[in-house]
Amino acid sequence: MSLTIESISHPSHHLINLSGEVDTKTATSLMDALAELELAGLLELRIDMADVAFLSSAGLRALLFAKQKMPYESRLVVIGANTAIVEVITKTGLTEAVTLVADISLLS
Amino acid sequence: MGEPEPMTPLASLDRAAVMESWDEIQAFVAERGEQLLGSGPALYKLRLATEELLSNVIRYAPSDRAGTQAPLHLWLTFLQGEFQGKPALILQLEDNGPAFDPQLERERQIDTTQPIQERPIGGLGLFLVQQSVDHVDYAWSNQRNRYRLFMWLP
Repeated sequence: MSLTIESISHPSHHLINLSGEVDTKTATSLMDALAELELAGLLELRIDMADVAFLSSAGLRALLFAKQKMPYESRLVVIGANTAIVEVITKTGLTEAVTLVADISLLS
Repeated sequence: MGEPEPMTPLASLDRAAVMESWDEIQAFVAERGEQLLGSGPALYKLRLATEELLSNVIRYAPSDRAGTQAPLHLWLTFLQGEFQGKPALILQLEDNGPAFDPQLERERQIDTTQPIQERPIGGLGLFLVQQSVDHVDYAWSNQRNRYRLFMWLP
């Protein structure tokens, strides 16, 4: 099980494109990528999960880690998560931490 | 609760309980699980529950096992049987580590009213195990920790 991470800085936000699976083993790479960002000053982080097939609690911890480091008024947007991943995020109450968007075209 | 019966072994795998075994174990669960459950939500939920339990075993495995102890090992077995009057697929996970009862019968709750800034990073794994499968149990059996994940079959 593998994870490809692409991290791109934009003027208004930072975008992380993920492809593969976010589990106990691969989540460490995601945490590393998040730790490299200036999260304390980041007002919008977008994580594109359209090509992510699986996310476990390790992935949720990474999302929560990022949001807790970001400013209170910030947005963590998860894009294109599949139904199963949306259910995991919802069941664990993390819809308070992330904004779920179906497709990147819905964002400016 | 009773015991499932009869139980027919369908597939099994055993590996050292180290991260180097992770990919092979996950592939076994995914591939065999898909053969037995299809590729829909039930497979995702079984994979999720398995990952959470295996993660705890491997991550918290003692790094220094005394010389007289066997290396930490994992056994995974898919079984089919009847439980609580219903046909079920069972994924049995065993390890030979120290006895540890995660008290899976105790319902885990997530405080979704807690502000995100105050939410603990941990505590989600066992909650997701309980939420994902139809039944889960633990026993110390034959000197092994034994977890069983049950998914009802149509």
